[in-house]
Amino acid sequence: METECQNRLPSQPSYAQSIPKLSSRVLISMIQDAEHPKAIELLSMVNALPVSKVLTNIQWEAGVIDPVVSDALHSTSVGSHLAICGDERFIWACWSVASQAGWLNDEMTLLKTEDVRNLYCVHCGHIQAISTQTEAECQSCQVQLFVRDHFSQRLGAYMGVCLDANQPYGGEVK
Amino acid sequence: MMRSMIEVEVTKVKQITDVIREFTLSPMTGSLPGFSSGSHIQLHLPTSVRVLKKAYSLLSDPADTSSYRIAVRLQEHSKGGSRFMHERLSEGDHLHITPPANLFAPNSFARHHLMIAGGIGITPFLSYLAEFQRQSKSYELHYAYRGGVTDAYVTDLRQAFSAKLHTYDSNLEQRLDLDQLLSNQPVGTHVYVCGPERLRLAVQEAATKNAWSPSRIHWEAFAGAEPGQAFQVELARLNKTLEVSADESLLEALEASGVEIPNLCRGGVCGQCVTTYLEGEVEHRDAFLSQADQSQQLMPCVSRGRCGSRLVLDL
Amino acid sequence: MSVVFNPIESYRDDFTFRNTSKAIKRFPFPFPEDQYMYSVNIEPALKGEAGSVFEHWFDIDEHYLSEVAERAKVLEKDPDRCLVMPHMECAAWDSLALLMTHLARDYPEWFELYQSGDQWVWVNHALNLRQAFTYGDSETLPCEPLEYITRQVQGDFAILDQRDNNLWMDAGMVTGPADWSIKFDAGMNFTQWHAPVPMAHKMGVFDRALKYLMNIQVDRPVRRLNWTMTVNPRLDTSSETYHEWGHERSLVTPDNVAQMVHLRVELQFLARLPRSHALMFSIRTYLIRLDELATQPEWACRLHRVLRELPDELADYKGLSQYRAMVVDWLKSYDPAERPCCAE
Repeated sequence: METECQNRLPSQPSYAQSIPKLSSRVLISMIQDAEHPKAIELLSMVNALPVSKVLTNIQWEAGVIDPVVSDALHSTSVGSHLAICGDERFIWACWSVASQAGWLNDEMTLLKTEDVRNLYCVHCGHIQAISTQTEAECQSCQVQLFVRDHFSQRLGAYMGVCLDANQPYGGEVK
Repeated sequence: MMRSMIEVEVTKVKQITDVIREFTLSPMTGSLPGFSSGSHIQLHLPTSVRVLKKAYSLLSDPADTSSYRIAVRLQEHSKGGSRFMHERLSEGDHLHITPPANLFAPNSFARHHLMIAGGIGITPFLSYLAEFQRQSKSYELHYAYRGGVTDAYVTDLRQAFSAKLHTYDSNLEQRLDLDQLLSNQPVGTHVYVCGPERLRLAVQEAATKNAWSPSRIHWEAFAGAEPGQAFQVELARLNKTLEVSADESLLEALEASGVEIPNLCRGGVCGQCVTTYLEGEVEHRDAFLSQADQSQQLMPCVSRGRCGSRLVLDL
Repeated sequence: MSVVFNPIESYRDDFTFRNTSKAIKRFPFPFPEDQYMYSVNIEPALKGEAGSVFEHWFDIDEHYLSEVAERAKVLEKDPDRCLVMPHMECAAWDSLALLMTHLARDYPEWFELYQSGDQWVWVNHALNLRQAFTYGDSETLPCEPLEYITRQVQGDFAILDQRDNNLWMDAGMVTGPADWSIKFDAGMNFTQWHAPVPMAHKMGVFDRALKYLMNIQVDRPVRRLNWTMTVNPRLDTSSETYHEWGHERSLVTPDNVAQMVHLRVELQFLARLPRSHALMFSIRTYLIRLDELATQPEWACRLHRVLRELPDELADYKGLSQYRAMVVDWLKSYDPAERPCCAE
């Protein structure tokens, strides 16, 4: 754990290891997969709070979120807490909507379930889903990318940059 | 002089209430530096004893740099600053001021701005209102005062911003219920407080109770050093001993003896005047240093040596 | 003495960019010592000597027309290199006002500004432009205000919002960066966008710098120099185009090193924007070819020692590792090994 922290880039996202004790009166939970152990743990806490709203089966894709969720994020008052539980793509799609609505990072708990994340190709701007690998081919411009730890919360994605400038497209002639 | 000063002329003095006066400061030529909402300037006041440095919020519209306006409340236990402003300063006088600095800017990301003013603490919000109005921001102002005494600008505000203004006159026993107010603010609200220390503490208490994130709470804190007890301070490297009287700050005492320390807010928030001390017990009154830092550093603009303890500074 | 512009030179393809001897003499050589290490080397941006790059807040030099043309080319292909988030609109106007005011005052032969309330007229003789507009009303300009003015100025600009005890890169015009991407880094705070810089975080450099920068006052700007090296006089060494220029690092040979490798110096300048309380961070880039630099032998001597002693981690980060040895080798003849260099 210690070594992991020392080598971590200051732009890398950090996820909660467990659900913190909350003093807020309202908890909104956005859950990607209600069957996941972390989601089950989160749901077990929910009843302990005076007011809570659980949103599951959320329809989302690249920046477009279920209007029901968006309404829930906008219509609450300061002092509420938001728990987002899902893979990294889900987390940052929700984060973006919450952030636009005025939520702050210290009002959110991010619980990561699966290793699915977004990769941003810095050469063409395309965003694609990847897993834990450190190399990938851009599906849009075909440049062979190295996956850096440098992360943009705004884009919800890690930076992909040309792996070998001498062979941007991998040995093929383009 | 540490920072280049601007010479201005007092072109208008206006009595706003029994205890509050407004001063218009105009440049000798051209216009004054631009400023943002919430900015303050330091005035250097040539009193008979010494040059007093006092920070005041700019209350004029940031779009207008032809002059600056400030308002000063006469403090009952004035150390000379507000008394000098009220009794000695008149139209046609010249003064030196610092360029504007801002330690109380509105949060540009806020979805709603909640302003809470107590008495003369209304001043920075007058510059907020001008910009909020122009930029069509969402805002509301809660203004507590004593009618006829500290109700500065209330008539103007009622005319211009009636729908967004909530007033509380202590003479009429009107009470601002902070708990109620902070329990029901839309997500994305930032709250700004300016006024007496007890108002800020009350807002913080209500915010904590309602689980507000500390980064949503902003306050202006250059009320100046509260009076304390007299104490002695040694300057280790200069090999000097100074007496700090009950009615002056450590920073003022240092400046009076010719020791210039960089400073900006003179109210314990900006961190510019941080000084290392080597020995002694300190009454820390700043809102800048961490507890760990306070074991070695102090902010002479607000903090003092404890009476009877020997304070030694690394100066 | 008024600035004279070179005919348009290119920063790509045939690379016709060159410095005149006048430009070489005023080049901001960045090394005060024989070794280089990170430090918070920020100083008040006091007015420098007449003719020097420090004379004015925004330096306009002989490459003005070329840089303006290069920026237009980058934007044509990639318009998002200029980006202004909605809450930065006031800061964008503030930037326009600051740039216009200073350019008109410092280079009256090229730029003029007439203001009557919010009715402004801007004249740029160098580009033969005349624009009447209403300050604060974007509809009266041909494009967004930050883009409008920075298309007419040399150097990149990041506009930083100050909130939550940090600085946020929420607007900018960045068409000639040293291996970073405004499109990726936009919206990050000071700590986040510096994340890829090795070593400096542990040294606490950024924490100290951040505190200092947040205290910058109106009319009290600060500056610092930063440096790296670039193969060919390419201004747009952005991450976006790395797959197009990165391979040039492996084209350096002992025979072409002095013509191909350039020292790249950034004059970074930070000024408080008065009305919005945002910070303007301008990055003015100067390029000098190794053989141009060696016309000042004391610079060649010092650069030799700096590059020889540079920690590998920094050389990697700056992208010099592939050709550093060749540069050091070429510079060796300028270094009278035993004596200290006498560069300023």
